[in-house]
Amino acid sequence: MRLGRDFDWVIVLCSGFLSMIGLAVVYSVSQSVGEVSVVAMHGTHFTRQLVWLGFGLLTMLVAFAIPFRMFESLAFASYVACLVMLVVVLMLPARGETQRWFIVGPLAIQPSEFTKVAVILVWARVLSTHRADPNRVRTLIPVFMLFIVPFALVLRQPDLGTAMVFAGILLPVLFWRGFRGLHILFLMSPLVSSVLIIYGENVTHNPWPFGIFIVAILVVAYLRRAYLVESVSLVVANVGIGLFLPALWNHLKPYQQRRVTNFLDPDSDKLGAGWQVIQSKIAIGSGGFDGKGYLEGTQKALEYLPAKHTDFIFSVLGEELGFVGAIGLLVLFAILISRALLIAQKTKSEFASTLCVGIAAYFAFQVFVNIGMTAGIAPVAGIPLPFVSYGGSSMLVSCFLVGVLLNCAVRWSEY
Amino acid sequence: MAKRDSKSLVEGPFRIRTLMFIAAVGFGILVVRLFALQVVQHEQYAQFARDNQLQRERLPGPRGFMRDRTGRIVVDNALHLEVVMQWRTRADAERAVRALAAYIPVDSVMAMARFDAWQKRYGRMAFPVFPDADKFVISFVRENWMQFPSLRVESRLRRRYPDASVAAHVLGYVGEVTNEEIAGAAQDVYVAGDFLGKAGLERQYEDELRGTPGQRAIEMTASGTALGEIPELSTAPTPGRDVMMALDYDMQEYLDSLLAARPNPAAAVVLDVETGGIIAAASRPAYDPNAFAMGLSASLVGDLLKDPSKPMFNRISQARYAPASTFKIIVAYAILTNQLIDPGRVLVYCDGTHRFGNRVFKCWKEEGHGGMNLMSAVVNSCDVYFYRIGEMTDVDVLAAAATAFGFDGKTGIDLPIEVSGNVPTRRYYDKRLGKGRWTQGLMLNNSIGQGEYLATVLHVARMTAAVANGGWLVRPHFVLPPEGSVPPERVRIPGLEGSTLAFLQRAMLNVVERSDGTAHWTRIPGLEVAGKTGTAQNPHGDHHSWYTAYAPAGKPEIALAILVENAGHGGDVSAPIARAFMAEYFRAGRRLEGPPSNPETSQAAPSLTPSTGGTP
Repeated sequence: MRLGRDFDWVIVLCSGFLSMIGLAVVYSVSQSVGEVSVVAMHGTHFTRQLVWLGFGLLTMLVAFAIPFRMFESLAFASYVACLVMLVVVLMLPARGETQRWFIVGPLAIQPSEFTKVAVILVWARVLSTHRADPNRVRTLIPVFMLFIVPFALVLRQPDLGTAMVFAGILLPVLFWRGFRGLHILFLMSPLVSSVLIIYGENVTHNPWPFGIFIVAILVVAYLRRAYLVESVSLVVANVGIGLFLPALWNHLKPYQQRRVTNFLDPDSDKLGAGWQVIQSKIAIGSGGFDGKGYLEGTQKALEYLPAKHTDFIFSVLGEELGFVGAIGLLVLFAILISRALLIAQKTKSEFASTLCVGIAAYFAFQVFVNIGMTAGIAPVAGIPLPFVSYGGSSMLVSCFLVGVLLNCAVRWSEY
Repeated sequence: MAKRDSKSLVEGPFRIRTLMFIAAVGFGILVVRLFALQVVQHEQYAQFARDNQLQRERLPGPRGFMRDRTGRIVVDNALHLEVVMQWRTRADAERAVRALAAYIPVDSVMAMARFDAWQKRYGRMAFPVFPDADKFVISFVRENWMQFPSLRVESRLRRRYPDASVAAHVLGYVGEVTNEEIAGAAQDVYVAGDFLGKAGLERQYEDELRGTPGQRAIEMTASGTALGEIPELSTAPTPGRDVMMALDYDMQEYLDSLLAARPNPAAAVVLDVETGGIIAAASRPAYDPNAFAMGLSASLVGDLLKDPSKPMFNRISQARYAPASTFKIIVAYAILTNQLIDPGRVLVYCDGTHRFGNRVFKCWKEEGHGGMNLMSAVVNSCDVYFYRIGEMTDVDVLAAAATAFGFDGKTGIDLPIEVSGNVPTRRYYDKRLGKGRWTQGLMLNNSIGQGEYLATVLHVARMTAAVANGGWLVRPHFVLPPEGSVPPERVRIPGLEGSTLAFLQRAMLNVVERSDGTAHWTRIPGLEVAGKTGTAQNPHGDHHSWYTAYAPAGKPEIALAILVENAGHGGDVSAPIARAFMAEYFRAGRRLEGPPSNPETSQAAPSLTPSTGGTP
């Protein structure tokens, strides 16, 4: 380990810029009308975020200093700890409609955020052993079990968005470990089918997308030279879902159905979730090429943006800094993600390599879904924008993961 | 601790490139989407953002006033203040209401129930938390705007009607516009929450009275805090036009008090004999139109509608009664114009009964009137004389006479609802009873105004006015035509002139002035009044009391018709009301030419109880 040569300054700079942008936007948000009443409680979001960033730096240092082998041995322990937290948070009395937080004094801790780290660690651990071949059922079953438990617990909160993050991390990790692309298709297709069917039945009233999807699966399977058994089971699984899902769907209570359709089609509820997306699109679109100017956002100032310091913070950025600012932000994330992937390629440890891919997937998925949501092309899900969104749990997790990346980078030759 | 195997190292670059490619595609989608929003569609979203900040508030145009003939305001708008709350979600609203409850006694459960009803009806409109805010609430809201930014004090105009239900049915009332009315009107005339005329003159003259709304553009935050008005986008509302009524409000009030002094349902109308302008008109029992202007509760409306005395029912233009003996004027007109008999000839000797076939028809005076010619028959209201006329008169001859006086249709009064009178013709009976299945016997009752003939007080008052003004059938109206426009048309009644006219005028004058006249006991010293009493037989209860008159007989100014339900015989009740009204009207030289009569006597004259020995 040679600190001078192998320390990844690019990652530090990227995450540093991102945090600074985040702070600046959180400050801008704290200048809006509605913020006045919050100040009296625990200081503005800005000062609180500043404190969280301090803790984040500390976390990053710790994650950097401890040799990554320690994480390998602690993977299961942290995973179990997170599961316990997820169970406990479900047993606490609900706050509003969801049970996502531990409230400790002025702090709200979101265990599902930390679970994202835990699943990255535990999958890296399981998949990096010599005997692990992700194309064997023997390997897939434990991996799937490790996936489904936190997925189910988070879904219970209910927080479909975070649950989907787990899937968003798992697939690239599996792929990195040599999982065949066809198998990914196999895994994904029933999910896509269900979405297409519910969407087709309840939102667009158009069954064709599902049909086209089945045909597309067959074409891909043929091109990839799949075994006949594989192709047949693929089609059977998807058509089976096509046949049984509508019956299952009718079993759901109306409010449960509504929850799903709102997720798939926010415009159906213009005053609820749809309202957020419409206002967010107005904010971003009205920002234009170079934005309305820092602190000048009207949508923000007049309180039209919901959750504008957390999940919808990108709308404020897009409004005040425009297309230029938004692209700048995307470039920083792109650099961060590609650095993580390059480290994954360079490092000699199977574990560290898998870890870095998991981290890259985490950032990529969160950024894509969060910005996609504010721009109206991804469903509304409570997924924060790393480093930028206000929130302690998200900030700590992002800083920790960056620390791990730096860790793997300097120890690239170790295994 | 595994070292990466050779396979992983070999495949690595491919898999990394694939992952990078997928990430790049994802980010590429975001870039394209952001480009579309921020560069391509920028203008559109910039407009949305501007619109977002703007709240266009509709400022209702104040409704025009209603004035009486002297210009005095009868109906106007009173300012009242309410506190409204801007809201986005029900939870917002509930939070605000609960927070308010800490300072102001407000039942949050009730308030939210009202909120739900409001939301159902008006959607996202600002909710009136305190529809009737007192000074304390207003000053609290104004002082604590920081804490309750969504609250706003609004002034509203509420329609104000005279107290004591004066002229309630005439003026009508306003109420909230219904969805059907919004849909039925031209676009943007009404929005939910507007008030419009629902009955009476308010409805009839809605187009004149209605103001033109203005708009106030306010910069708003999403939570409803108003930041300021944008003058370039704001316009002031324009008030509606005032309507000038022919009404003499003092006399209107007096007439209402006269009718209200008895519990009996009653209707009265007083016309200007020359123009048909209505000087006073009342219908009792009445309701308080102010309650409607405030927005009546459903239960109160239900009570009003269920009340057996039907206070909502406008007896002026909607209640039809048998015209009874007042109709004898038309029968006399028919006799004279058709020269059926010599009016001076003693046609019958009235012994109190009249035989027709095997049926006995009674005169109202059991002991009989003795020998009767047309004049004495009208003056004494002798039924037997008119039974005899009925025997010999063709159905259609009498019908033509009644039609000449407009009893067959509507008077054309400027009220939204008016019923026609009824004139039975040969065709009418053939249709109702069948050809040849009815006899002349029906005409006996018709000739005393008791059969199938029906009329409102408007028909009867107009008939009297025609006799008074020399044969012109006027169109009764409340609202004076705007200056410079054509006055309402008058129609010449054929043959009501010369000796016929003179005979009818003399007969009506004799009813009051001759000692044997049925209304002699209600004559007013110093004022010549011509009148006619009537008793409408009522199968459901006591007789209705009719009286119609005009005065002064020499130079007629006003004509009136009064009907008091279930008040007994003839003019017992209605004639004294007329006497009181006319005494007041012509008192102290108000209208009466020549030296005023002693005000003390005139004041004392109106007595509402019939004096003993009074004849109908």
